[in-house]
Amino acid sequence: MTTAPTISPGLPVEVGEIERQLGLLWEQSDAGKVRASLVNLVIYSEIPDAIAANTPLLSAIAADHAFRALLVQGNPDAEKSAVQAWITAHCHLRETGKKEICSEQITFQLDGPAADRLSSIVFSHLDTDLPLYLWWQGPLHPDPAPTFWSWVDRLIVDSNTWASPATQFGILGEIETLGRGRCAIGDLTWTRLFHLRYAVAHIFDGAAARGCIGELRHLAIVHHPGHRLTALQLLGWIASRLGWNLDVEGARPVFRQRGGAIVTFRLQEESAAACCVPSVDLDFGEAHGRVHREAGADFYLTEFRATGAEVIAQMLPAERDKTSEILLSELSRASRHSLFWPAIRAIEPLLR
Amino acid sequence: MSELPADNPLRVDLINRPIPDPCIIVIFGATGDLTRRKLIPALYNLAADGNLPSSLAVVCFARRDKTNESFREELGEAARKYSRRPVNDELWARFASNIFYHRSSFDQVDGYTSLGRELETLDKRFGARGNRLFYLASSPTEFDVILENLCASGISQAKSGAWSRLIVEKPFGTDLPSANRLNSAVAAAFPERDTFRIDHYLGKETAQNIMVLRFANTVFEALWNRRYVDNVQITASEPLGVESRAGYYENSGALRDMVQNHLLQLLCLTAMEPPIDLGADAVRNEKVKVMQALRPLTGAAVAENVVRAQYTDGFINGQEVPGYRQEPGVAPESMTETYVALRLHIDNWRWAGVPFFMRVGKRLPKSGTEIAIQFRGTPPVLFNRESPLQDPNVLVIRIQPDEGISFRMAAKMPGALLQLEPVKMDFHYGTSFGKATPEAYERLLLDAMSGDATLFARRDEVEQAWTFVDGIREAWHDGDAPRLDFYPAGSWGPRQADELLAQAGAVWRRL
Repeated sequence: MTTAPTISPGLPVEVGEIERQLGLLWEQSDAGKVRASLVNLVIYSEIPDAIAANTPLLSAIAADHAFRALLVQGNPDAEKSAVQAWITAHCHLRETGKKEICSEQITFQLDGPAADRLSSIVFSHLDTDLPLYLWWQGPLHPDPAPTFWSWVDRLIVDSNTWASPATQFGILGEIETLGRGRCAIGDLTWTRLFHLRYAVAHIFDGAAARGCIGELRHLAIVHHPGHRLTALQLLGWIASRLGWNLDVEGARPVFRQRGGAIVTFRLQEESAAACCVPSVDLDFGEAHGRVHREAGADFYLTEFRATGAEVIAQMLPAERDKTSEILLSELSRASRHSLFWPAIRAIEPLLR
Repeated sequence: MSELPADNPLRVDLINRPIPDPCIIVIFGATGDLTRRKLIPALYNLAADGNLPSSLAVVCFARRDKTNESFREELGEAARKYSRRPVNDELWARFASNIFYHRSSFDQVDGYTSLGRELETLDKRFGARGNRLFYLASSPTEFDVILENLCASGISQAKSGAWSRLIVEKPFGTDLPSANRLNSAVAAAFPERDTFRIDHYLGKETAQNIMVLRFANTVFEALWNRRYVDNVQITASEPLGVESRAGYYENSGALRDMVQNHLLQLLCLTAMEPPIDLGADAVRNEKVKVMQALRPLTGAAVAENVVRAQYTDGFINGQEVPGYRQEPGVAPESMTETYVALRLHIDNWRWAGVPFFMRVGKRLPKSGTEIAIQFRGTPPVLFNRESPLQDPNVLVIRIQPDEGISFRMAAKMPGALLQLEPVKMDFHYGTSFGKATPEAYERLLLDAMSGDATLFARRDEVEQAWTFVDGIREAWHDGDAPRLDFYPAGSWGPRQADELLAQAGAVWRRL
């Protein structure tokens, strides 16, 4: 059974009339509005009420990153095949000018067998020449079709929402291969880690801390219960950058450094955690590194303490927790995440 | 183990630019406006973005009697007023705790000796590894004595394995001899590779985008030459008058204030050949070649190719404003130019025969800095057989405000008649990229800390620019000096400036 969206996605239109109706929308708007677009942003979701959840999010990011959005709600389990469409625009006044900058949103609801028509719907409504970014919310479908995926310039997912990450990363790898170098992968879980990785890296800018890297013996990462995969990706990044291999010591997984030394680790769930990963502790024996974020703080506090030396402390920006802001960072990234797959491979056995 | 942050294995792929080394910044003339309005807000914003090196201290060197605490408080107020983003109290407190006030007059050698001791102490405390960045933010008249004392006290000397750099604010002299003197004083204390002469125009995103537009897009560079370009117009206009700067402006005038530095830099970026790489010297070599190819303007050529003028009373935005000579601090018989228009020629293979028009003025109707590439018209065989097209293609690079690029072309008006109209394709930074643009000083300070001199002027660039400008000034002071023209405030300049273009069959763009 399908229901109408709880937040209005705009003016209902016939699918074949969308471009004409959009044209009329702009003709009727006042001269102070400018249509802008940097990218075709397609959001596909089979999560109930995805239209209501994503429409305000699109409105929020339109203020900073102009787009043509195709928001597609798929209801493959609906009995009746149907396609419904709506159009709207998100307009924001920019500080630099007096004109309102507007981004278009075309919303589709694909019910029943019509849910299989995603590629037809998408390709018919793209803004010519602009890159195609696709945010696939929820688990990816197995057996990806080359005719669709080879045209996607950036596939955005959020692996933290996956119930079976090992399987899903497998499909993600297949899709990347189908793209033959065209499709860049953006995992919002990885994107969310940017500032934390930056803060951890900052500790090792100091020569004293960098001299201790080989002495690292234990890593403790505290994470929110819903963010185990975020913590694992952080662990995978450190391991892959420092050349560690996953091993087993007794019955527990550990990392082995190039020289053979063992690094133990602990992922500690904390239900009261104010953000996805509020602290990382690095134990070097004679020295200690820590990245910590207080509840509600906009900054990470990094510290490096070595015996007999002054504490080196710094405040560094922390990520905003809103999904819209994480998505904006991903949309603003022009290049690939070259360290993403090595990080995933470093912790692959822990995904199962 | 390497000492360089760049060798940190966890840094890879996190940021796509050089990582600044730990250092101590010493600002001379730290109680001045530049420190309050630009330098400290820029450093704070770098801290908020996590772009400062892991260890950084700022030592503020000035004459007035202040304590660390009182000065930090003053700077806190300034940061709250001038920072492009709201100040976070906790971050500010941490950032400000690394700012230290050093009281001394610029001519006291003792003050530099004690500065040296303070720097040693801070080095140990902050792990700055002996790296120093000296910033001359004082009045230019103090530059010599500061450099002399830096040298005499040995502070300017880089320690083994460390660096010692100097940032000099414009003006770099007032003419070629004074620029030479200043450059020699600088060279006695710092090698050229460690000298960073700031022209903040080069730190602006749009100025940096000129090279991207030209060399990252096939379509423009192919047309960027004498075969397709009719003329180039570079404009810097502002509605403001002399304000509180009469003391400085009376001696400088528009030519030395704007043309010698900002506008000639824009000209170089517009006209230069592609550099062999994006390294500082490769880019600056190409800019210097443009200066070398600039046809000198001396003697009678000045009267033919340069218009100088001064504003009289008039109206700006409907408000009556006084003439330049009636402004406070301005001599009633002042001959200082508030407007200059120039016709320039670059005698090289690419630009031979293409006039470059440049104008700068105060009390013009609108604020705007732009570069307009005016293309040649099409041959008179099809649409313009009867009369030449009125509006040939124009590519405009807007430096400020409303940064962006527009392109004007001809289109057929809908209807049975074959009627052509100019239409404009427009790219606005503000429309396409929502994120706030960093201030020019943020980028420039970061580059200086990282040792990247690409966006700074090199000694030979500065000296070439003075050689060119001095030729014009000498002609103005000759017995047969061209007259000073006048224009009412709120107009687009004197009639003589229009005639300068009319001789080439061109007209100034109306901004």
